[in-house]
Amino acid sequence: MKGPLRSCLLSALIVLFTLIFPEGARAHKPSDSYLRLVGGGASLSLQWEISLKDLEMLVGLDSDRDRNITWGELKAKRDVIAAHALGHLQLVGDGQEAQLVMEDLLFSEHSDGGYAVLVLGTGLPGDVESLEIRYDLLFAVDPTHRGLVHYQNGGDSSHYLISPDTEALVFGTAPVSPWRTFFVYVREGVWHIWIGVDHILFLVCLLLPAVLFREGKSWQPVESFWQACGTTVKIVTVFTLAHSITLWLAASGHVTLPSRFVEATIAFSIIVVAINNLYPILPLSGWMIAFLFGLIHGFGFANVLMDLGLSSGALAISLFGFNLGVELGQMAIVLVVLPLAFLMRITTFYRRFVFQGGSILIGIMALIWLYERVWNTDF
Amino acid sequence: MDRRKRVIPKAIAVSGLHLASIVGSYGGSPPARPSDDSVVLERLPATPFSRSQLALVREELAKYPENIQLVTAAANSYIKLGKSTGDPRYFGYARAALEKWWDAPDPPIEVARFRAVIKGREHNYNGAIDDLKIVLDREPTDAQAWVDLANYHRVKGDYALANEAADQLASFGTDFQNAVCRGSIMVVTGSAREAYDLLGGQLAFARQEFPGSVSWLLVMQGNIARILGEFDGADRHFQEALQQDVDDRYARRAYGDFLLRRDRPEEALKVLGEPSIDNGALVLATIAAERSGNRDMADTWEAILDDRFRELRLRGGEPHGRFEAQVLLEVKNDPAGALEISLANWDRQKEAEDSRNVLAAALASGDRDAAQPVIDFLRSSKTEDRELLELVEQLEGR
Repeated sequence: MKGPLRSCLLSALIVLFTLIFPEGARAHKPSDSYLRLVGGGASLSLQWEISLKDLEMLVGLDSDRDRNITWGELKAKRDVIAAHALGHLQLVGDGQEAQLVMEDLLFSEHSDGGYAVLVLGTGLPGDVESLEIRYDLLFAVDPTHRGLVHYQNGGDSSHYLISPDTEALVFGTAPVSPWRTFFVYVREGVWHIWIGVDHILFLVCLLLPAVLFREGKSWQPVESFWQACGTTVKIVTVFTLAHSITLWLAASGHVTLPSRFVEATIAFSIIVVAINNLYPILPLSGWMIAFLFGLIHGFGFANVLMDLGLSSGALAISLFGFNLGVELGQMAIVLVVLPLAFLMRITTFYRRFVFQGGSILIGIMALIWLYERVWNTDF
Repeated sequence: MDRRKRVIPKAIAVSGLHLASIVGSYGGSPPARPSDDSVVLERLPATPFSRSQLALVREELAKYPENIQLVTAAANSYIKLGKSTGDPRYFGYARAALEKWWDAPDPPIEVARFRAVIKGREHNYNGAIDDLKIVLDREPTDAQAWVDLANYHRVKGDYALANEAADQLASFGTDFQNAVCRGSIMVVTGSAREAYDLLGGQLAFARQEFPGSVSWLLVMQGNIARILGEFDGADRHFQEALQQDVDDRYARRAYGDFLLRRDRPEEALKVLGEPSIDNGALVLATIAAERSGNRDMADTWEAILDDRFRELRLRGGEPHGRFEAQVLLEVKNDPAGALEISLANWDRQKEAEDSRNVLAAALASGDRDAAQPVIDFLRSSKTEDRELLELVEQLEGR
């Protein structure tokens, strides 16, 4: 075969291979840099993460050309990196241009490899209300590059994308009003109860016997609705009191417990209540059990709250909001369960199937959770 | 370029906690100071070009951005680098070299060729097809362009159009070109046995003239044997392909997938190796690790996949539907989610894995009707794929 045709075919084959297996295309993600801005403190801080592969292309890091970029090689290029990068970033806060200074150089890793972390001083106050970012790192050599901006102020955070089409990114950073923070956390509290099946089942299990009372070895329906209400109010109040205590203790950092232990104990608490419904062996009444295990459920709520993040400035507001949200969610369950249970309390169906059958079912479910949470596995 | 000021109203951009809980932080490890100067932070891939060569190309390009020879050379080297390393940033560099003509309706023919390659890599098959038509309008005997055109049509499931392109090539292409081009279509249109013989017939020639293509031919033969249910033969072909080229990522993935589907997860794990770069191999390895009881390994890899998918979304992209559907179905146990993603992916591309994903997800989620378009498509294209046909039978309750 002749030379030119052969080389033509060879190049045909190279392309062909990638086409026949098009899934190879997104093996990596394209180039990104991450700008993390943190407000709320004395001054606005900025950490800029740039991929080492991009820096290698831009300024050259691998000095000894052994294809390994070491920490020593990266440090040696600190000034060159700063000079290049800062020439492609402009930050304006409330109309005042930031004097960006590289204060430290660190290292981080993302799913596509190593990143240099440029710790930058901005000289801007932490409470600037509007920010403008002009960014054009790498756009001239790679139009698929993106700058990802993450602004955080306590539990409040926002996320923006800078592409070659973005001349200037402008966004407001003013802290959200306390009312809004409060509202958001109330909503989160309600939502957590709504999706937190284990809390719901614990409560339901405690409430099922509220419309009954024990006479000898059998359960009898209570006479009046107010009697059932009284029991329910007592149970719900002490449960609330108990989990609020531990929620505040944990959220304020006074007490911490490992989340797996907390989750497993919550499952255990449901089993205990379910068994106690079937065989009332515990020398404790419903409200005592509610208080005892309410303490552990509070740690569970606290873990959720930690995952959401707490804005330090509005700790009390967000904590109170979340707590209130949890109670509202709980109230909604009570308002559904109690009237239904009261109406059905005289029937054998209620005592046999709802109360006893339901307790067995809930107990089995909690047993599965306990197994999963202790062994950290799916059933 | 259209440069406009982008102002995002706070109310839209910040939805407080919800956004925070969805986006979380940017992931990645927390910034730290390595303990010692000798700590290796990144290993750079071997490249056919040195940094100084690349720097020279970049400098020259900056000086003469419209010199078509320079542009072609730069795009060509970056695309080669992208292919050899698997790193998409090089395709970004190639695109930058072509930037002046990126949206031009009538670019120089060299630019149209490279544009097609880059768009194909981004799974923009229609864009790639349009660019190839520009090339073929001006150079109707560009064998490469016909092969590519047929291939994109085949990936999209437009087999009639793929055959038309193969017909055009047939009038002047070599036997080898024609076998590769037509054989790939025959496999999925009811002539798998003939395709097996056609491609096998090129092996001796390939060993002589294009040793680099031998492992690809063997993988194709392995895949066809698998389709026909001749699993021992398939096994042999895959092993031979790997002996030919141990580093062949495609061969590894094809064999790994085969072993996994034959319920041999331990062997699949060995074949897939440590799949650090390639998401497709990583997905298969994660499933294989889980099925063979290597829980820690499966958890680690699943976390890497989660990170990669999340970081892709953060930058405004989407993970490949084929991989995401497999992860949802076989790792996360979410058949409904897998069905939705696999159907959306199937609208774009219709290779065997894409069809299999829909059928398997429909079966697992009990939504048989959702798979009907895929079943109709496979019937009308006369598929002989044993695994796909078995899934169809199960779906139809036979």
